[in-house]
Amino acid sequence: MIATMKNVVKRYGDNMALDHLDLNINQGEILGLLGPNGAGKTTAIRSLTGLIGIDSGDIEVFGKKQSLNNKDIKREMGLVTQEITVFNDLSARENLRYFGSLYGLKGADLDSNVDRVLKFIGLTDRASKRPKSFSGGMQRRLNIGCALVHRPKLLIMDEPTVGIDPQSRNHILESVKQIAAEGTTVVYTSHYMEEVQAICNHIAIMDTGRVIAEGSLEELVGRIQHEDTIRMIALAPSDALTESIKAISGVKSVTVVGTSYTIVSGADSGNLNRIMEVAVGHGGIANIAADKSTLEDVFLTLTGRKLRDDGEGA
Amino acid sequence: MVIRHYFKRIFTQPINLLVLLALPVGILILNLSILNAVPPPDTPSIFENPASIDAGFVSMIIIIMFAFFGASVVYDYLFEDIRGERRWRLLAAPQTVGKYVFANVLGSTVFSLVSSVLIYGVGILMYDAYVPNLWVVAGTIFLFTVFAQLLGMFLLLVCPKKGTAEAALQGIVWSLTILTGNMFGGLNLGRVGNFIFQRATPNALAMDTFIRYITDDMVLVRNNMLALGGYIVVMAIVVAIVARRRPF
Repeated sequence: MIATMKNVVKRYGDNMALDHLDLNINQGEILGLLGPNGAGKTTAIRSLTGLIGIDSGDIEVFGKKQSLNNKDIKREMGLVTQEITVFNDLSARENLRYFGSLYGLKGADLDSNVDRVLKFIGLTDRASKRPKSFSGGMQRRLNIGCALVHRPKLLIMDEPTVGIDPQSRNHILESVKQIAAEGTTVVYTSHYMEEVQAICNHIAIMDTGRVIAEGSLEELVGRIQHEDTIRMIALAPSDALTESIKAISGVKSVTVVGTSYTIVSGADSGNLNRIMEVAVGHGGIANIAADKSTLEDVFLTLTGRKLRDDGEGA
Repeated sequence: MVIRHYFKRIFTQPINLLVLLALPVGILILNLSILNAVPPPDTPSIFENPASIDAGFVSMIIIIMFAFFGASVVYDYLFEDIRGERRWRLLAAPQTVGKYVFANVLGSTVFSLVSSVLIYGVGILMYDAYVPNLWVVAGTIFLFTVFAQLLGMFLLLVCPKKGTAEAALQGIVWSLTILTGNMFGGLNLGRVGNFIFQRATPNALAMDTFIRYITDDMVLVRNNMLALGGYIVVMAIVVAIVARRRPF
């Protein structure tokens, strides 16, 4: 365990931002902290990084008790802020040098780490340029790079892909996986469930200041998924086909609209192959697919609300 | 490294170089060129070289005005670094907020002093500006600069946005410069008003120190400098109290 938060309470006036939050971060994992805006994700990571005090509870990082301005802990952590917080009046290289120096790097060590990060974020050929001449995606990459110069053991990324194009987002997600593969533990907050699904091997879903569920993607989905939904387009729909599918053990219902069949079956019944066999025997199929539950479904089931408001984000 | 960082940002920012170095020098050259083109009055001057006194006087007015404006450099960077979103990134590093503030204020103070030296230097080299006593001039400029920097910190602490601080600073600088009579001579604000604005404000004290030295009134020179020091102490206490109640 690289960090733990136990029973953490943080209030802002009457608003309880963290409501007895419990969270464990394991060495080497990418922990996805998922939740809607206002769930308490940012407050949780600011508490974890020792940037704000807490009202009660315990936070331990690297086996040491976290507190405001604990320099020993801060030295081993990196923070990627939600907003781009690099210096626009400094070049990319100067930005990396400055942030590296704040963590005590100097001389050849600083130079080599800056070169390493420039290469990693793909900005070596633009090292002498200022960020204001960069695209949004490049600025985001530099924003991430500034937290990597000192090789942190624990990297905290607060919604690092807000407002960028899909291509840059993919580049960043791949980078995060690479960072973790090199041994850095990553805490990744987002309200984009697709990102968390794609990169995180441990997911904690937050709402109203608490972790309401955690585990791997499979574990979380398994908690809510009691049925499989299979959608099929039959080449020769018929009553005989419908009855044959209904007769398969575990199939709960079959709905037919034109050539389109929607079949609900018990979870993990393995009925997809059987249905395909039956359909092929009755004139063949044009298309067949099984719906998979997502984190969005998990969140909806747990809270009765959608993770994102309609139209928000990408 | 933090100190070097702020020095580099302050001393290489084009707007700083333009507004706080090039602009005052330009204004000085313009003012003194116009002043020198005016025919001398019929009545003889009490001074041996009145043009030199005028050049020194105008240099001091511009130095004080731009030392005031130099207070903006204090909050200009700190609003971004300590009051904005960047604070989380900077404070996530193993450094204290005081280190960032100190480095910025130090850089800003040195920049303001460099601006003053440049203005007076151009005045001396091009217009033979009068230098009464180097220590008195340097001391007065230093004291006034420190006061202006503390004012900048005060504005940083009490103003919610950079724009508010900027508006407040501009208001303070222009109103005090005008009321002191350094911009339009012969202002009569009544006995009390004249005393407050033309003798007792920090910029009036700084100007008066220069004038009193020319007229060889060393008691007032000393008193003015002590009063300027008093302003600094009061301002430092106010800043400390506000910073305690509303930390960065």
